[in-house]
Amino acid sequence: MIEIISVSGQALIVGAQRERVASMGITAAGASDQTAFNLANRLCSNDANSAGIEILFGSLSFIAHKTCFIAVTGAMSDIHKDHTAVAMNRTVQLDAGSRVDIACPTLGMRAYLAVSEGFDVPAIFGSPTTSQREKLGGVDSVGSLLKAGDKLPLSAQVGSVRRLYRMPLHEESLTSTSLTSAPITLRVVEGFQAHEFSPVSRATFYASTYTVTPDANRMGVRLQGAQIGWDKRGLVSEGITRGAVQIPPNGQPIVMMAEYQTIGGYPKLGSVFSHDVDKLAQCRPGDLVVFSPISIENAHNLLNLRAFAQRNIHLLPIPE
Amino acid sequence: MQIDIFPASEDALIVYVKDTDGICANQLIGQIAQYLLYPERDEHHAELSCWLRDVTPSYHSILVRYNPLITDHFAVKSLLQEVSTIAQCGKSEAMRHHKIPVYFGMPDELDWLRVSHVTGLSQSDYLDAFLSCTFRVFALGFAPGFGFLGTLPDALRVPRLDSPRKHVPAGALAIAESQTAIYPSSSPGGWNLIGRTAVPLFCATSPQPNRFRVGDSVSFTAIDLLTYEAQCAEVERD
Repeated sequence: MIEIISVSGQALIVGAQRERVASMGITAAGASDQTAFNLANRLCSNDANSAGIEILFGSLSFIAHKTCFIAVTGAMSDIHKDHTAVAMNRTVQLDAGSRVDIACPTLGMRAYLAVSEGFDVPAIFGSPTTSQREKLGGVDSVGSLLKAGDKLPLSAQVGSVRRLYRMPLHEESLTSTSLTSAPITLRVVEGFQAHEFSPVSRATFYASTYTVTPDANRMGVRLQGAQIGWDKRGLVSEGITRGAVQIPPNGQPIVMMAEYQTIGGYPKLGSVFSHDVDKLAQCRPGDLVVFSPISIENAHNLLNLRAFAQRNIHLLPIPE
Repeated sequence: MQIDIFPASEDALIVYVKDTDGICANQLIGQIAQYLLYPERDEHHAELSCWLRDVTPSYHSILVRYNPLITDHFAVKSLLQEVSTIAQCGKSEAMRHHKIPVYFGMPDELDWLRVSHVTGLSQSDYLDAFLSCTFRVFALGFAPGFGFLGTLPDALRVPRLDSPRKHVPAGALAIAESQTAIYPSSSPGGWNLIGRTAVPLFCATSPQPNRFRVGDSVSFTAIDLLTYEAQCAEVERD
């Protein structure tokens, strides 16, 4: 068991995205930054989507009540184990009674904590992942955030001996937290109503730099910049996706994130490529983004190449 | 019926059904959804389930998400074309009718002033017309249990609020343009509120979590405050 001592910001249980639930009005949810979340699990020799914790721009302290292995990835954060600094992006062994303090990130927005075998949290509609707005999943099955005093059960096998790993340095396909202050490029698979926007609207969209506003959460990120016009009217509400770029009447794009609503009535230019949605999940208010079109074929290839790389890149064993 | 299929994202296509009759289009969407979610009913497409991640049926569109590590948009598109043709011959599921009791009082929390102003109808004239309507569930979405019901007659239509409310209470009956709906849980919302019901619409632990299914019909009856309060107390006890 792991016992939460203190939380600032938001911390919540995340796991696999829900599937075959959209026709009931339920969103997929899951980790905001899938890249970082999957890496944390890999470092713990878990399935890529074993239940872990997403920490949104805050700190988290906890005590492990039995021997286990953890890894912290995502937003760059100082981590201490029993008051000794330990690195991110590597496996760390905890003994019964070990205390871990994860500080508020110095870069990026969301840090991920995985534990060997994952947290033992009940699956709701196929996954333990938290959906705050829908009040589903998480530690109490009704979508609550984690708070001090919460006791998170671990699976029975976590004591088993396993190897310690670290991420190879400069392995770009394993991280989504940018070190540069240059605008982040969000590649867009054009679709939905893309062909109904005027050529001027589309050119404006791809030529402009947008600012991430503070109005950003697990449901969506509002951007601010050049207005995108939409002349038509009367779009009938339809299904939307993670990454969908909605253009509301004020012309300021909204990119839908993990807890997107299943059906929406705003026109959409397409969807941001998932690897870039992960990067957007790490952006802070004031960060800059630009959009660039990518064909569905090219996006398909990149997804498959990434999946291949993640299966085949060897995490580096750490000598014990 | 004309079928158009467009990309929606790296792992999703959206199918649009064009038909002058909105109900026919919506029926076909429902049949395509059933076909994709339960392919075992058809021996030729039993392999579907391995790549299908989700479907989001709506009024006259259905969003189909697939696993791009197993298949690609060419294969999914050709299968969707085939399924759309087969589904046109399919039978509809048996539909249910729901009679939902609603309390139309509480003037302070509701938008009757605005509704009367826009439609030019008194509350009782509006209600006479509204309660005589039977609505169809066109889509489930936005939030669990939220059913998009249509179609409101022209005379009863009111545009969305200029600025959405931060908090709409659970059980609020609302109207916007040609649609009406009940907010299953408290949430932000931009529709005009006209009443409250105690009837729960979503229960995560039930084998059938949603009260409504697409294609069901819904009508409303007016109840007084005492009945509404008694129903609220009863729901709470369960």
